[in-house]
Amino acid sequence: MNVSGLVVTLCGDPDRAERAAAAVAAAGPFTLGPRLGSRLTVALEAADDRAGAEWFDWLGRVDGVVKADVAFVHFDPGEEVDHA
Amino acid sequence: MPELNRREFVRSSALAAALALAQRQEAEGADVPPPRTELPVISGAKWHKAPCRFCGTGCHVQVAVKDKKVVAVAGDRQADVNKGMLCVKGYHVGQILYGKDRLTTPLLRKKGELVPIKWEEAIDLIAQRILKAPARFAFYGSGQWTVTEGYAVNKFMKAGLSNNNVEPNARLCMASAVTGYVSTFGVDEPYNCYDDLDHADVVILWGNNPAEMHPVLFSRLIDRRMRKEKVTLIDLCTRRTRTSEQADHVMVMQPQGDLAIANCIAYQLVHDGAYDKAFVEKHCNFRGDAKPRTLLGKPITFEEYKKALADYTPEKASKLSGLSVKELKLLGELFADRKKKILSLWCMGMNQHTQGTAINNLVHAVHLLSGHFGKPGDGPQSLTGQPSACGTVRETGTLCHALPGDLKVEDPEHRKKAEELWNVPAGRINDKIGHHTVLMWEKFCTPTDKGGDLDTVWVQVTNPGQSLPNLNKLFRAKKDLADKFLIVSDVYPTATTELADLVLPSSLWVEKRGVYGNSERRTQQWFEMVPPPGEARDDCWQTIAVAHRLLELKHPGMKDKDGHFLFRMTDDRKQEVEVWKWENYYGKVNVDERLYEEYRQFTKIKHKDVAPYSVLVNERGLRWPVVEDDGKWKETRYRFVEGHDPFVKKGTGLQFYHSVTKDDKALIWFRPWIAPPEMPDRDYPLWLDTGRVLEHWHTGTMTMRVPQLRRAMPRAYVEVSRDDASELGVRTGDLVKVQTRRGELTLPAWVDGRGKCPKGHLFIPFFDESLLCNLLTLEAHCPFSKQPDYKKCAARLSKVSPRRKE
Repeated sequence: MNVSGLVVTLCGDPDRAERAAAAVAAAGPFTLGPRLGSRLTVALEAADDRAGAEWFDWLGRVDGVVKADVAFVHFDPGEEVDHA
Repeated sequence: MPELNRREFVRSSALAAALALAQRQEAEGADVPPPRTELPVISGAKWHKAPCRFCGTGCHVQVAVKDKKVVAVAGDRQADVNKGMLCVKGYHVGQILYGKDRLTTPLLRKKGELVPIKWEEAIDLIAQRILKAPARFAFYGSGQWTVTEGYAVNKFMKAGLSNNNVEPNARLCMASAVTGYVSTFGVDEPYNCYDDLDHADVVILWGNNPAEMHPVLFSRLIDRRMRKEKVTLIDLCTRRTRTSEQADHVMVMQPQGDLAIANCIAYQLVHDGAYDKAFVEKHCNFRGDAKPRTLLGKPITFEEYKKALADYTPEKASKLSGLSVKELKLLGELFADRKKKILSLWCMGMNQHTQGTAINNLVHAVHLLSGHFGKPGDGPQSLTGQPSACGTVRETGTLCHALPGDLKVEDPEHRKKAEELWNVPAGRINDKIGHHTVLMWEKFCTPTDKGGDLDTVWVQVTNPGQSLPNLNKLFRAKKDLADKFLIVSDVYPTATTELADLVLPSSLWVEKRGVYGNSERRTQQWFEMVPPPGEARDDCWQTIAVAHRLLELKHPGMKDKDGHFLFRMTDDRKQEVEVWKWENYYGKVNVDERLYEEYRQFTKIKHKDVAPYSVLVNERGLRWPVVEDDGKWKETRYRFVEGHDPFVKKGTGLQFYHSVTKDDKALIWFRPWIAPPEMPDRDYPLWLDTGRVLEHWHTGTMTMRVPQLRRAMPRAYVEVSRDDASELGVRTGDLVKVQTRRGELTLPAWVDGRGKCPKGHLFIPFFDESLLCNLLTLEAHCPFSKQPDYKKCAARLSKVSPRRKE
């Protein structure tokens, strides 16, 4: 399971921006955090790297989304390295 | 122990990181909204403030705690230092508490194996050992000690055992900055603060790599550029780094070239009549080396100074430094321009240097000579690597020659003052300087019958088995000496605990109360938030417990003049609280506060007044001196500057009130270029340089246990230039052997990797416990600061084998 922290920038048109925010909220793998103006903070939980990349691409195609930036990435805890 | 909900923790961390980035992006817009300080809502969790556990920047974090576990970390948007930003290490700082192999019980080595024992036995063992030979005992601590941890050890050793063998690992990181400040201004620590980053027109980096080592501070410079401000960055380096990628001018110098560069700038200022004559006449005297050389040298005239600089024309300095004449002239012209504000920053490149004091003196000198001093954005500022090298080591005096409050053991007036404040009999403090770090470990690793006059060393909060130079000589030699006893208080097994005879499990970061002091004189406080695991206990408690056991064993030094225990603490009814018993340590009295307030009295002696504990509780740190004015506690952004520093006499403008020459003036030094003790030759034709990487904190004991950081940088490597690699037939990933006169190491090569070395230069980061680069380094040190030079020794490189196919 991969987890990413993203900042999604919404467009200036309020209606399109609200529809975009609703679409992101409704999509399965996203958890919404606080919103700052035109920016949504989002956690994306995907099954693996490939799924994460596909959902990231999906975000970019949502009408009303200007761009998405990656702030944080976490890899699958099942792959945790044993220091000992 | 209940399972940590990893998913919830990670999701919360992801949202916190996104929030910080979103805030910054919003701030870049034309209409900047006021910062919002709300934190993510995590059901059942409470947020608390703390400074980050890692570097000397001193970022403030908010820590979310739920069910006695840290569940999230966010940058603190109310903090001046970082304004909500964190670096990649800071975002993961909460995870350092939860490595699988935390030490949880005292361990004693019996027949080669570490076996669990009780705390009572461990404390008694240490006390008996000290009692048997108190003069042969030494304490080795850290710039990661909290203020009270360091202060308690200093009091225990110097006021209790009359023993000055207390040293910190900060001897290895900022001792040259200390001697540089003391011999220039008469007192330690930067006069300025991080506000300079927001005002400088030109920033000169003297051998440091802030893009990786102080990334949050570096981002303040880059952010200004994103706001279309003109900030010229000059990277004076021995190899190109991530910092170089942002620099306007990258000037790759030869190792030790900095001495010639600084003197050349001074030469140009004087030769061209471009120095600030009025400033120099009003505020400075000139100083040069005495014979033999001493820290404070001797007075020289301006004419003598000018004559000494004659060997540093751009043409001559070019040969010594490796910079071109054009580059040297550019630097000279910059300093001659009074209209520009110039900030010089430095860290290990200048401090870990066999002429570390000298180069610190010289960088101060070019600023004083040119008048680039005393205004926001205009001055020299050293940066510290550790979170409390300033607050603990430099300010509480955990050095073999020092006392709290910048006092010195060799000064009878200083000893008298300290004895009064500690309420111990006159003569209790030993007047002889103890062993500095390199000497301490050399003595410990030398057989007793061959002059090894230390047989017990207690290490707290540091990892000398990985961080000391020339490890075979200064650490590993202990293995064959049966009568030497090593005590290590730590949180994880390390290269040091491998040779320990007694291992004590310690609390880490927010598992205890603490106070830290960062690079810009900012004292920061936090409370304990989560319990330590198993039987781990605070390092300060361990020190007090041993002191009390010594009291029970009738060591006279554990009593003060009134016959009371050195660490006596009473409650509101004046009843003694037995804080040496763990069950009482977080009980009726706040031990941290009591010791801090006792220490605070020392800080008033040399105008380094720190804020009261009760005030720090409500702040994101305050920069000393902090004085009360009209009912409010006010911090000081710029020392020695009228209008900022409350101790500066009105009308003086600038007053160096602890001046070496006792006339309120600073010293402009001349110190010559002197070759390093080991340079490349026919047998060892390459320079070896060592340092750090963004992802890991120092020896990696904490960060290598954070999976994300370990995955990002899993192993050490040796950076090799493309030219050297080509000559040897080496490609990235190939195994190579690096040899010096002290040892050898086989590790993978990285050709033109993250850092790009010039031909003849190698670089190895020191975070990897499985690849100890300090087997190779040299313990030669600055004659005044005693700080070793990790940046320059002679090495050779050979190919071992190509990497395996994936």
